[in-house]
Amino acid sequence: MAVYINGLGIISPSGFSGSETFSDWEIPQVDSRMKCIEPEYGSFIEVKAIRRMSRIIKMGVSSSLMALKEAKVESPEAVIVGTALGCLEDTVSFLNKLVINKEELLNPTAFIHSTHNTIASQIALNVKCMGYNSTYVHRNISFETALLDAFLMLNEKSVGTVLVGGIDELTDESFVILQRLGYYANKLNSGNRDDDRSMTAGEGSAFFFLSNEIMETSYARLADVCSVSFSSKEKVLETAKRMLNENGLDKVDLVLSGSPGSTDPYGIASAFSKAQAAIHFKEFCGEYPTAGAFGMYVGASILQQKKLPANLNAVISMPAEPRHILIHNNFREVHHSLILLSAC
Amino acid sequence: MTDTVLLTGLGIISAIGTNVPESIDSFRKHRSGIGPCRYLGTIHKNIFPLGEVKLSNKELAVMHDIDPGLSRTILLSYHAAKAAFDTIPDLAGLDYKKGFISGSSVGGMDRTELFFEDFTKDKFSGDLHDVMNHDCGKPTDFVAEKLGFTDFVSTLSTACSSSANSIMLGSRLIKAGKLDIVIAGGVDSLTKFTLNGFNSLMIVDKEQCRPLDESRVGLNLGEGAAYVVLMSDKVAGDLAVSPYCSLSGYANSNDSFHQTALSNEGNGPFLAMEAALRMSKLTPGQIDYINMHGTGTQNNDMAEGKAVERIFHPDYPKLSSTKSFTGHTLGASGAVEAVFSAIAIKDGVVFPNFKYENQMSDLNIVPVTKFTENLKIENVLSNSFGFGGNCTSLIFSKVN
Repeated sequence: MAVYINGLGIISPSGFSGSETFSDWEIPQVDSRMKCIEPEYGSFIEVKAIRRMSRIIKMGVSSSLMALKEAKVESPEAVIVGTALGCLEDTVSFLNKLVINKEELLNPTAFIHSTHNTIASQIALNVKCMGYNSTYVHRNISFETALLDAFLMLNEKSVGTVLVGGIDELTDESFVILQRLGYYANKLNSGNRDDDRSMTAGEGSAFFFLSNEIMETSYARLADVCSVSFSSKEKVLETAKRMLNENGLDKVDLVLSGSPGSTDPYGIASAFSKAQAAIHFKEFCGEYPTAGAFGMYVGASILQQKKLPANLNAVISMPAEPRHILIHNNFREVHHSLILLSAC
Repeated sequence: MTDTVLLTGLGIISAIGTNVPESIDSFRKHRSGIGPCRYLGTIHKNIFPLGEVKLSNKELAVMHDIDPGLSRTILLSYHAAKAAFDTIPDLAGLDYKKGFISGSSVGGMDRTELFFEDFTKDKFSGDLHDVMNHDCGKPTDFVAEKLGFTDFVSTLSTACSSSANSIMLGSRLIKAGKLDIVIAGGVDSLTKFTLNGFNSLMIVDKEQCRPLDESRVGLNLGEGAAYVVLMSDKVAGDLAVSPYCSLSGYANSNDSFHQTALSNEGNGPFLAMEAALRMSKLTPGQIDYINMHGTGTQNNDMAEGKAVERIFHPDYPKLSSTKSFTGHTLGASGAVEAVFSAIAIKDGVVFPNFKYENQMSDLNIVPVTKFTENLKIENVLSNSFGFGGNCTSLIFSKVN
C-alpha cells in the first residue's frame, strides 16, 4: 500500500507555508535561539478561539489547517501528533502559580491546556475529526513514532487519510532549563560549537496530510520510517541499508541529516548518498526534539520542486531529477530515526 | 503475520497492592487503597484522600537496587514492568524483536515541581537532577534499557487513555510483523500538579469517590503502573507460555466536543466501544463484564453510562469501576484495568464498586458491589477516556 504526502503545513524559524518559497529561505542568523516566524493566526482560526489558545496550540492548529487546505480536504480520518515536551507555556504557567500561590486559588485554564494531547485534541475539534487520535511523546523520536503509527494505519487500511505532525515550542523558561542542561551550543557550556548552527535552540510545527491515494497536490511518497534505539553506529547503518534494500535501492539521491554540525558522524551520507554529502536541515530550524518533521518537510519539498534550498552552507550537487531522499535524525545518540521519501 | 495477540504476563503496582496477588486480595477483602497520603508533600494532605502506593521512593529504589533520586514515575514504572518482564521465559539466544511501550500523562512532574520551587524565584537555581527526568519518555527509556527491550521504544500521552493506547499500539506492531514480544502499559505518579489541577476544576472528592452513583461528586486521584506482555499465539506456543486472554478488539476515537468534558450522549465512548466490538466480532450480548472508565465525576459517568446504554440496552453485562479501589491512576489506568480484565477472564471473577448506594438518575446501569468468583467470564470490555476527548476501548477474550 503506497502512502503519499498530499499536503503540508509548516511554521518554522525560517518561514511558514504561504510565506516566500522554501528554496529561497535564508538560514536564520541568531546568537543562540531560533524562534518561529509566525503567520497571522486570524486567517486560520476564529479570533474568539485564538484568545484561549497558547502559542503551541495556535501553531499546531494553523499548520494542520495549512496541510489540509493544500490537499483541498476539510477533515482527515485520523489525527496523530508527535511532541516531546508538549504544551510547555501552560505547564510552566501552572507550575509557577502552584509555587507562588502555595497550592491555593488556582485557575484551571493553564492546567486544562497543559496536557500533551491538547494539541491533537484541539486539532480534532477544529477539523471536526472523531476518528483515531493519538499523541507520541518519546523524546527525539516523538514525530517519527507518530509517523510510523500513521504509516501502519494506512497500511492496515483502517483509514484512508491521516493528518500527522511534529511540534515543539521553546519558551523562555524551557530555553533556560535546556541551556543549563547543556543541550545547546552557547556561552554557558564550553566547547567550540559557537559556529555550529545545528546546535542552536529551535522550535517548529510541521504537519502532513497523508493518504493512500496519489493526488494532484502530492509531494512525495512516504516509502518507509523507523527508529533505532540504544544501538551502535553499525546497527544504524545496517538498518538504513536494510530499509533501502527493502525498497529496491542501494543509494539515494540525497541524505538530509539532523546530526550536529556539518559532519557525517554516522557515515550515512558517505554510505548511501549519491551526492556524498548531506544537507543539514537543522540549519533552518534549530535543534528541537521533533525537528525530524521539519526534515521531512524539506525532503518532500525538494522532491516536489526539484530544487535545493538556495542558501545552504554546504555545497551539494543534486541530480536534475531527484527520486529518493533519506532523512536521518538523531540527538545525543540514544534514538535515531530514518525516513525514506520517494518521488511520486 | 498474525491476527491473534495474547496477553501472557502481567505486572502491576497501585494503592491496592505491589503485585497481582496483593491486588486481587484487596478486592476479595473489599479493601480500598484510597485514604490519607503519606508521601505526597501537598498542603491538601488532610483534605483529599488519595490512592497512593504504600511504598516510599526509597523503599521502591532499594527493592530494585536503583537510584532513589529518580522520579517516582520511573520507580513505579520499573517495578511493574520488571514484574511483567519476569513472566517471560529466558530469551537468551532467541532472535525475537522486543519492544517496550509506555503511556504517561505527566512523566517526571513529581520532581519537576520540586525544581520549580526554586526556579520560580531565580532562573539559575533549582537542582537540575530534579528536572532532567521531566519528559514522559525518560521513564520509558530507563526501563527499556534496563530490561533490554529496545528494538522499539515509545511513549504515548493521551491523558487518561495513554496506557490503553500503548497496549493497542503494541498489538498492532505485532500484527504488522514489526515486533515479536512487547511489554506495553503505563505509569503515573501522584503530583501536586495533577492534584491541584483537578482540584481547580472542582472534580476531586473529599471523601471516598462514588463512581456510577447518583451521589458522586468527583474522583480520587491515584498512582501506579501496570504492564502486560503481548505476543502472537505462535510466539507464545514456541515459548510454551500460557495466556491470560487475547486482545480481541480495540478502538480509539475522539469525542471532539470539549477539552475537559465528554459530550452528553457520550459520542466518543460510543464510537470506541462500537468499533472495538466490531473488530472482535462479538455482539454486545457476548460481553460478560465491563471495566468502566468510571472516574466518579458527574460528566464522565453520565456520558459513559449513556454510551453503554446505547450499545447494551436492555441486557447489561456485569460492570463496575475499579477506580473506587485504586483511585484514578490517570495515564496508568488503562493498563491497570487491562490487568484486572485479564484476571477476570483467567480466574472467572468480577470486581466490585467499593461503594454504591444510589442508582444514577436517567440511567439503568447498576454496578456490581461484591467480589464475585466462580463465574464464566469470556469477554471483558475495558474503557479508558481522557481529557481532550481521547477515548479508547479494549476487549479481552478467553482463549480456547
